[in-house]
Amino acid sequence: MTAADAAPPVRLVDVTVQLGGRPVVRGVDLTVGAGEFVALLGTNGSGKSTLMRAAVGLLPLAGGTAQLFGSPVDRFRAWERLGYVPQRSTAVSGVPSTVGEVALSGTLSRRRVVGLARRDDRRAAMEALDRVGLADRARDAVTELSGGQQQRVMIARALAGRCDLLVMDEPTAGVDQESQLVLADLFRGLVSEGRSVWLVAHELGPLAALVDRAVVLRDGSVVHDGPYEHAIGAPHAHDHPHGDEPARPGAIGTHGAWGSAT
Amino acid sequence: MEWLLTPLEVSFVQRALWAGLLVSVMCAAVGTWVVLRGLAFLGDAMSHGMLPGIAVASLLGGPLVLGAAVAAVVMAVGLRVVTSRGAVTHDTAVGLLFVGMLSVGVIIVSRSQSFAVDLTGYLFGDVLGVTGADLALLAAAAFVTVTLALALYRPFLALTFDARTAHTLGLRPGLAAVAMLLLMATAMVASFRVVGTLLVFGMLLGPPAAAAVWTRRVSSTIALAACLGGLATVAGLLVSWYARTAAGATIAALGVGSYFASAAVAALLRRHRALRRHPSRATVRAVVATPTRSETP
Repeated sequence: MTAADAAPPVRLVDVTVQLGGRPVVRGVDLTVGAGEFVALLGTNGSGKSTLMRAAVGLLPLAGGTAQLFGSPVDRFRAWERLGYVPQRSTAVSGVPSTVGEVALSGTLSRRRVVGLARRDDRRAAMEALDRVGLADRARDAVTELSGGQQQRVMIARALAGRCDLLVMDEPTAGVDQESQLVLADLFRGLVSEGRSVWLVAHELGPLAALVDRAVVLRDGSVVHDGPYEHAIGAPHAHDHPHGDEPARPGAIGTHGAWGSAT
Repeated sequence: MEWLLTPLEVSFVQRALWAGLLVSVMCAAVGTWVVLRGLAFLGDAMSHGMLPGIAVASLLGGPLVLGAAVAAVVMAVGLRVVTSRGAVTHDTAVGLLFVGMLSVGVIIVSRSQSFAVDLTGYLFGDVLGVTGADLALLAAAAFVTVTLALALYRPFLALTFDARTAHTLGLRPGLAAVAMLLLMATAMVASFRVVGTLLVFGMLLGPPAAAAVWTRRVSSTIALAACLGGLATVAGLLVSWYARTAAGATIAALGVGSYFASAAVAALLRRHRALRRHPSRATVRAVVATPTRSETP
C-alpha cells in the first residue's frame, strides 16, 4: 500500500482553466473518492466540460492543482486506472470499425502499444461489452447501432482497461430510455465494486437515485457540493421540497434549478 | 487469355507490374490512414514539397531518392515549427510549405542550364523504365512501411477514433502524427521514380477510399485497398499496352476511378434496397415532382 493508493481518484484544488484567455473555470475544489458516484451539473457554458477535460489532462491548468490517484495530472502515467468517455460528437466518425474493435482499443492503456492485442485484452474488451449489454453486437459495424448503443460502446471502450475511475462527459445526452437503464445498472455495479464514477450531465434521469454527491457549477464556480436532492433546490431552496423525498427518476431535468438559470 | 499474357511476357512490363504491385501494397497500408484521418492535403503537400530536394540532388549528381528524403524531412520539421510557433492553422501551414517548396524547386530547375530534372517525369514517373535497383528499393520500402503500419495498427486506430480518448489511454498523439508523416514520406520517396509524385498520391487515396466504401474494419480496408491497387496496376498496364496510353497515368486513373465506381455502385445498391423495401416511394416521388415542374413558368 503506497500513499498513492490511499489518495482519492480525483482531487482538484483551486483549479482555474482558461479558454482563449478567458477564465472558464475559477477556483474550483472538487474531490471524487474511491467508490463514489459524483455528478457535475450546470447549464451550458457553466464550465463543467472544461473542468472535466482539465482534470484528465486534456486542457492545461491556469491555476491550482489537479491530481489523479495522488499524482499531478501532467505527471500521471497510470492511464489504465482511468476510463474517459468524451462528448458524443467525436465517436468514431467515418472510421469503418466494429463494436469489438472500438472496445478493444480501450485496452491500449494497459501498456501493450505495439503489435497485436493479447488474449487477456480481448477478454477485457468482451467483458466491457458484456457490462454495457452489447456483447452480442461485437462483430457489427458501429454505424449500425443506435445513438444510445454507440454511447454504450464508448463506455465499454473506457471500461476495457479495467479502470478504477470512470469519467464521462454527458454520457446520457440524447440516449434512449433503454440505454439509460442499462447505464444506471452498470454504474450501480461499478460503485458497488469500489470503483468511482464521475460524470457531467444536463439531467440525470434514472441515474438520480444513484449519485452520492452532486456538484453544481455556475459561471465556472461551485455553487453546490452535496446531496443531489439539495442540489435541485439549492439556488432557490424554498420553492422545492427536498431532503426527505428521494429524487424521482426521469423527472429531474424538467424542474432542475440549473435548467431554469439559462 | 493470350491477350492478357502477351504483354506480361515482355521484361520491362514485368518489372512495371512488380513495381506497381509493391506500390499498391505500400500505398494501401499507408493511404488507408491518410484517407481515414483526413490527411489528403498534407499528403499532396508532401509529394510536391520533395521537388527542391530532387532538383538539387540531380544538379549535384547525387541519388535523387536521398534528395527527396531530405526535402521530405525539411517539410515535416518545417510543418512542426510553423504550426507550433506561428499564428496560423495546420491547414495554412501545410499550404504555405507546399507552395513555398514547390516554387523553390521550380526555380532551381529553371536556373539549371541542362534542364537536368524532367518535371513531367517527376509528376508522372516512368513505370515502364523501372530498373532492378528500383525494384529492390521499392521492396525494402514496402517491407518497412507495411511492418510499421501493422505494428502501429492499434495506436493508429485509437487515434483515428478519437484523439482525446487516445490521450487518456496514455498514447502520444503528437508522436503518432510524426510516425504517420514518416510513413507517408517513405512511401512517396520510394515510389516517385516509378509512378511519379502525382500518381503515388492517386494510389495513396484512390484504392483506400474505394475500399472504405465496402468494409467495416480498418484492417479489411487495407487488405481490399491493396487488392484494388493491384488490380488497377494489372488493368492499367494492359490498357496502356493495347491503347498506347501513358502507363503510370493509366494505372493511377484506374486507382482513382475505383473509388468513383465503388461509390456509384454502393449508391445504386442502396437505392435498389430502398426501392425493394418501399416500392411505393418511387411513384410518390414522381407524382410529387410533376406539379412542381408544371408550376414553374
